Amino acid sequence: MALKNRDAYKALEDVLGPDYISEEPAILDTYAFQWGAELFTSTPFLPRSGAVTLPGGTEDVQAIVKICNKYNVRYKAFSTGWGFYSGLGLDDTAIQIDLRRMNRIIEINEKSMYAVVEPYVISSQLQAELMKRGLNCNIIGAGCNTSALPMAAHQGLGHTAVSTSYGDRNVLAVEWVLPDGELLKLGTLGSGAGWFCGDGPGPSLRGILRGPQSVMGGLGVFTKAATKIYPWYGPPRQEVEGVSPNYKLKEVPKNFSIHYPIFATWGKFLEAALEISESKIAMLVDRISPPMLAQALTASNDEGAELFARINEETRGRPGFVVILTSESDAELAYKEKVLAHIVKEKEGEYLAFIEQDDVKREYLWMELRVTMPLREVFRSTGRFLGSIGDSALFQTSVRMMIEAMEIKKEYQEKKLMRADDGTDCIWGVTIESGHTGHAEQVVFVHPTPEAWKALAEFSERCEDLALDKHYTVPITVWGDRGHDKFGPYLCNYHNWLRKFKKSFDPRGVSEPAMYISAKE
Amino acid sequence: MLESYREYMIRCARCSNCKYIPHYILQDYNYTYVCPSITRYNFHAYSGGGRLITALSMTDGRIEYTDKLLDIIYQCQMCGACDISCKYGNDLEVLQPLYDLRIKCVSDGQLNPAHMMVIEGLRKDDNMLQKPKAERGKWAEGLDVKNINEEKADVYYHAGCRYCFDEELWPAARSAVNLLKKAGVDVGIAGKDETCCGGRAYDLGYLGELTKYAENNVEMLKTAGIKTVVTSCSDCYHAFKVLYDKIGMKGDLEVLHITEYLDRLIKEGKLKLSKNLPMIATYHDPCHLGRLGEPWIHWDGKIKTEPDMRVQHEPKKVFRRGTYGVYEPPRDVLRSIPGLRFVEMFRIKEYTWCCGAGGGVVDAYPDFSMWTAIERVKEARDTGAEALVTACPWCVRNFKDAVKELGDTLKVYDIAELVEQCI
Repeated sequence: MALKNRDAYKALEDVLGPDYISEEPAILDTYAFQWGAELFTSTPFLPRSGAVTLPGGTEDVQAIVKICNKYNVRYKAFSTGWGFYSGLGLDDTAIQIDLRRMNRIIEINEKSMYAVVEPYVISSQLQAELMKRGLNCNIIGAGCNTSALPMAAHQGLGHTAVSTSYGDRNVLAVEWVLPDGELLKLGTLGSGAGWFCGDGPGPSLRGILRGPQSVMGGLGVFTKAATKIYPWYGPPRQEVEGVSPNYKLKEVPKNFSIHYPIFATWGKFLEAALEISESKIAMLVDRISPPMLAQALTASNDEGAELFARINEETRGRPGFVVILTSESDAELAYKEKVLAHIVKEKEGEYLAFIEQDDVKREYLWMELRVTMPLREVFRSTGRFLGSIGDSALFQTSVRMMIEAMEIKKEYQEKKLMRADDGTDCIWGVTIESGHTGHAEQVVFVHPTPEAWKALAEFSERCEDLALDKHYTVPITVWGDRGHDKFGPYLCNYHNWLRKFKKSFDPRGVSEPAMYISAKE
Repeated sequence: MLESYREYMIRCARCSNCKYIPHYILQDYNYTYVCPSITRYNFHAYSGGGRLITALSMTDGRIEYTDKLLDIIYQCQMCGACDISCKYGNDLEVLQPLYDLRIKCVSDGQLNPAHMMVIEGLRKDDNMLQKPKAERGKWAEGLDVKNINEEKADVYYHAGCRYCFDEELWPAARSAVNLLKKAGVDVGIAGKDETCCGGRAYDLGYLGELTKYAENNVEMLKTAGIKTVVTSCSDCYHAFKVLYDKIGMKGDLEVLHITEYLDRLIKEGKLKLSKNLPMIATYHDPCHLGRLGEPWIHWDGKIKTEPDMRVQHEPKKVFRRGTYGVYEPPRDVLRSIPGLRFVEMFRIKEYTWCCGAGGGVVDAYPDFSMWTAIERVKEARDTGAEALVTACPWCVRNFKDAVKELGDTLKVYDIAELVEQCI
């Protein structure tokens, strides 16, 4: 299979050079193979695109997009390209734009607290450079191996959302190659005032580039963006001991502490999570369930099963979450510890003793703040997972929806189409911006088989129905025509607006819309 | 068999962690990549995960052999860095299927022309450098050391093809033997009768050559009554210790790298380093001594998903994750050198950046090999080091060439050379 439009291929090759475009089947297959492809095909491979391109900068991206417009070739850009999102809807009449060569940190502005990155800068790279300067960034829950571009992945929610917010709200000025190839400089960048604001002086289209679920690569290509950054009270360089996979910090950094309070009921859990978040003491409030915690702290599934049994002896099904405190001074940390202890006591909770051990703290603290553990926690267990069942709303609303979703999930678990979560739960969630909002997901572990993914799709739709029936918010599985057409009529017909945006910005319909919305009436 | 790894191939999450050093220890933007191949060639197919997918595509009959496909397979140093970074978070095998992928290519007659020439040379002259067999023992002329085929010795020193035939590097091998003798070790060599270990041939996909040379070497050592093998070549070390075990031929042979032996001798007081060697030096971990140098772990079982769907191994499988490679002995040796200030590079031990010479890349893609070495030389320079010390002749050769290419003044040493200067 090769790109059908040969004139387009020739034009692309002329612009990029032969080293940065390929239609070799072996190369295309490595982009077609995607986690979640089983949702759409009977194999782990999506249909191959016609070609893959590797632009080196914004000018290359513009040239590619203009060629695609000229020859009516659909395109889809992605950063690290993890998941079916980056390949869905493509075939030999379309191309992929792998932004891997665009991997520069353009600016770190310590005074105005923002960083400007290209799409292939990953969060661990940016965080390492920021920490040298006493700063930190939000890292999305998918892991520090993913793009640091604040709108690269869906909403961009991460473990430290309580103190570092999330992608949608961190995004400042943006350089955006629109679907027709025109370059738009959003916010202050548009008026030559730098990167510090996404809304002006200058054009403000943040609502459009975000949409209810972000545009998911369906409205041109973001080539640079500024993201808000936050203070870091730890050392500029983390001293790590051990050899992989047994890394630990040499010591818990001064003015940091980590706990895992557990509570008798979900009600007490929610009250505590909110009070801790609202008290503004926490750097991190992260709901990691015990099976996921055990996975994270072990190097293999065999060890994970054993550790879970140990942790479960202590938790006995009581829900808990991780809290990380940090401060500028000993006195401030002591104060925060007191507040945390007070809230936990008031809600009749207790700290998980397992996490209080020094060696566990030294390992886990840095996992939470850097690695964010998506592989150990979720992929390793069965080989595939989906976490996008949840939604973002009030934390208590999101968690309650997930508790209800657990009942639906059990039907599939009994049929062995989803892993049984060790008899407990696998709800992941975070509070956002001091608890003003929150997010929760039902993490589902499945095997890479079509039957399992069919069940997963069915489960997702049932969770969506639950959201509609019980008036929860828009689940994060809502994307593409199917999702937006389902939810739009309940929410001021927002889907009609999305279509108008799509039509206006992408008159030839070449920016692949499968994850966003098509212009069809 | 490549097909036996299908369960691992299909469970690749395509997360791209195989491209980076483990994120837990990442400290600097400039030194985040660990895989030379993806760093140079960019398309995902050139990463560890990409090659796993390629192997899956081949296994499932989705792709046919093309020249480009063979380049993708062979433009890789087989350095194992992807394997380590992946296994920080996963129960997967990455490197082992890549060996089998190459074995399949050779078995299918899909050969790399440059590799064919090397293998033809090996078959004719028992070495990987296409040099006349008769010249193999010249490196040791005048050393006054036993030949194990003529006299009894406790320890066999295996020089390896590169040290035997690369005259500029002879001093390192000679230093190793001198040091062993100085410490009172009853050491012997095989001189002109030494043959290749077969390890680099295996990296190219030639399993038959590995088996043949393993048989030759094991038989020679058995006849000579040798129980301990010492080598200065990390590739040979890996072959004798890991690969021979993997194919069931190592037996109870003790295999030591010269750095392990020197470390032992220094700590036992049998070698006293007294002369001052004022220099700032950094150390490059050879892949086959470090992350790939840990013992082979035999496992013959099956993957099970019962009772709870979790992917587990029956019996339990202990994965080789690079944890038990040889990392500290060479560092301890360097630290024991009076006057030498030891500084670390950014990518070290299990997440070291390859020298570029492995996997047949130096033979088939010399520009890529050189590019990889230059990256490492620049990293060494960034530490402020005046000398780059390593423990493998293939690394030494590549770094010397890279330094020359750069017009740099960085000194490149095998560790034994430095130790001998202090005695």
